[in-house]
Amino acid sequence: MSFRARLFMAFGLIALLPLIGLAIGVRREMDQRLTAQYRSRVAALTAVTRTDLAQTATAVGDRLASLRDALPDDAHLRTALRDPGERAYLLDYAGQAMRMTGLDMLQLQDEHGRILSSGHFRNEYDRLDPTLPHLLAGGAALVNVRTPDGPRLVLARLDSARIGDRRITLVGGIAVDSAFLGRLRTDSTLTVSLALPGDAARGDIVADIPFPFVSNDSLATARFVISHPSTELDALRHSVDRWFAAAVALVAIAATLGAVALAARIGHPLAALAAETERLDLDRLDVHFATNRDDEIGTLSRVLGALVRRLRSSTVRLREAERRATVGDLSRQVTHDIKNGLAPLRHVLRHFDQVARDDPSALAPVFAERRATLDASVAYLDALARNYALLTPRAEPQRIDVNAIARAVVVPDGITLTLALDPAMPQITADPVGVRRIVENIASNAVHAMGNGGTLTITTTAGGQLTIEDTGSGMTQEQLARAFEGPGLGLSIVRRLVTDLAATLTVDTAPGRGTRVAVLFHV
Amino acid sequence: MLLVCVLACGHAVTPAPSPVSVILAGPTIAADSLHVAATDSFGVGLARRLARDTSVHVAVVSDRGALDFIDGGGDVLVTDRPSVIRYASSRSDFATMALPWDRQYALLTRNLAPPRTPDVLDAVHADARVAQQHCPTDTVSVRTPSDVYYVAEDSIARSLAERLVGLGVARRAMPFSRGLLTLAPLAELSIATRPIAGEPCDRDWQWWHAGPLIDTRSHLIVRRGAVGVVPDTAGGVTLETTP
Repeated sequence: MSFRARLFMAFGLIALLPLIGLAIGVRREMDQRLTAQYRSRVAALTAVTRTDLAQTATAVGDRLASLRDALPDDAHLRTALRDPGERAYLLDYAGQAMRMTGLDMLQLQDEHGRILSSGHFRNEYDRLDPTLPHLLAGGAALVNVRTPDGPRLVLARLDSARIGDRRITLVGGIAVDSAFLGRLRTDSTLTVSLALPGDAARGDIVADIPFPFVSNDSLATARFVISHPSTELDALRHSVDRWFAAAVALVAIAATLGAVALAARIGHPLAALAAETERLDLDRLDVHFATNRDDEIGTLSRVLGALVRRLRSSTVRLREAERRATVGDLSRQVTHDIKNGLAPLRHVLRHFDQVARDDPSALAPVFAERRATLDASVAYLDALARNYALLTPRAEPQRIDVNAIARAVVVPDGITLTLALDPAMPQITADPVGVRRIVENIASNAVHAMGNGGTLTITTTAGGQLTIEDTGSGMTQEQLARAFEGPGLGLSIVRRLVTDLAATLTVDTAPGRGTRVAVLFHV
Repeated sequence: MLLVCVLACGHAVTPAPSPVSVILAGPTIAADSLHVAATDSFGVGLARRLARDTSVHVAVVSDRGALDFIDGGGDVLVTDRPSVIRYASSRSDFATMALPWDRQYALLTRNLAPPRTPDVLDAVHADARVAQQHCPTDTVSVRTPSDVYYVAEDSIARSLAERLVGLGVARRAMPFSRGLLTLAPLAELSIATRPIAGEPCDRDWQWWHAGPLIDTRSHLIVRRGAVGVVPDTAGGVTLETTP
């Protein structure tokens, strides 16, 4: 896994994990608080509905009580109870009283449960219904009363009045219909419905209020069901989720961009350092690690630069040692070879000396006999001398005036030579032939790059730097790399010679911009 | 101008002469124009011209409208509502006169003979008696209580239907519009009317089994000194405006 990928993952995790944790925590906290508020609100509304129901039952009781108080004062009613000829008044009485008291159901029964008068169903008179008062004795209840159009649900209560020796039972109530349920809604978001025994629960039920229910001459329990759609709460939750998801996405994008930028800011210099370091070799110590950064990468660059400088110095010493070792080997070889060549000569001369001392007259024949050996040994030494003469001996370093070497540069016709030589350019200690080869090779390459025309500028500085700049075609990085690798343009020779001098070589070139070669000598 | 108010309480399934036609059948009653205050066509076409400056207004009103009509200076009122009759009788400036029993209400069944249904007189707000004329019928009870239909505009029919529900003979009282009279025979139970002086049972309700319930009649209420009442030989009355 690359450093960039690790950096990206770390950045993403550092940014995203806390945000996701925050989102989960905030959502959980919000959910708990909203749910608590929701439950509290629903409980309050349910309590109000409960109170409304109780007040409604009380109101029905109050109306029946007022009717109970007025009943004995109606002389016409007393007459109608006794005289069948006035029965029409009795039959119409409950209807009149029901309308005047604002009830939706009113029934007058005698002590036997016979219906004397019915307001909501005028013509059900004489029907026996003693069970209803009995079931309502415990208080208000929901009753499905008969009407000509079918059953009708009412919230009914019971009362009674005494007229003379007759006890009249009053059963009254108000209709439990959609309007009634609508009045029980204490909040527009609530829905109040009635679930009779056997009805299935529907919707988001938050509370139910049991209420007695008279059904089939028995007492059961119905429920006022309060439901509240949770869509509002769900919508709020979904909205928060969407906002958090958007925030996470934005942070993820920002983290990605930041990681990419940071990786580029850190990774690219490291990659450049790696590339430069990869080029580093004992034969290529002209790699530069110059930087202006003051961070860790700058420190690393400077460390690598110092390392290269130490390598250059070490390389010079190493090559000097190699040279000396080579010279020593060569000396030993030469000594050995000369000794080998001198041995026959010494032997022949010792023979001549013996002959001259023992038999001088035989000296001439012996000389003639051994002359071939002498010639062969001389030829061997001569050949040996010629062979060793082919090995160029290393010149001794001298104080060299670089400006003088620069003035000696000659260019062909069509090429303009410009010299900007600083008299303060210090003399350097080096092999004059090597320095001359450096200047000649760079100038030759420049002339070659300019073709038939151009300007060759040679500059020296007081800092010990020699710069040769041309207005030629320039080179790509690939061409420059090939020039350093191959022997064709002589730059490889220049680099080796510069390395031998422990100097620094810098090439600045681009297609169409010419080439600028700078050599910073070790002063 | 002569004001005549007809308090309509019932209509026959089969068109029949109305009380108003009886009242206005006399040759001396007429009007310049006849205005009908409701959509009902009660008595239209039976008024005859009496004098050019006289017009007869026929109005079909509710109980309260009838009382207001009396208090508002009306001259002639035909009604079968006991409360209105009682109120007019209590007024010295009005005279009341019972008209002949002219309408019968019956329970019609489509497939079975109607049950005996006593004790329905108290159920209606009308001058009613137990039906005197019974059509030949079987005495088989309706097997299962079903809905009983009545003409929505007929309060007496509605009361009878509701009483049948109260007695358990029918399950529900269901109104239907007079415009749907032709659908009445399709109902299992229905309340219908017929004129007592009309055709025999088998001619009026030949497709159904009929159980007569009540007979009704109307009362004529006239302002004293404004309208003259002359009984005619057909059992009706003739009104004459005073000079």
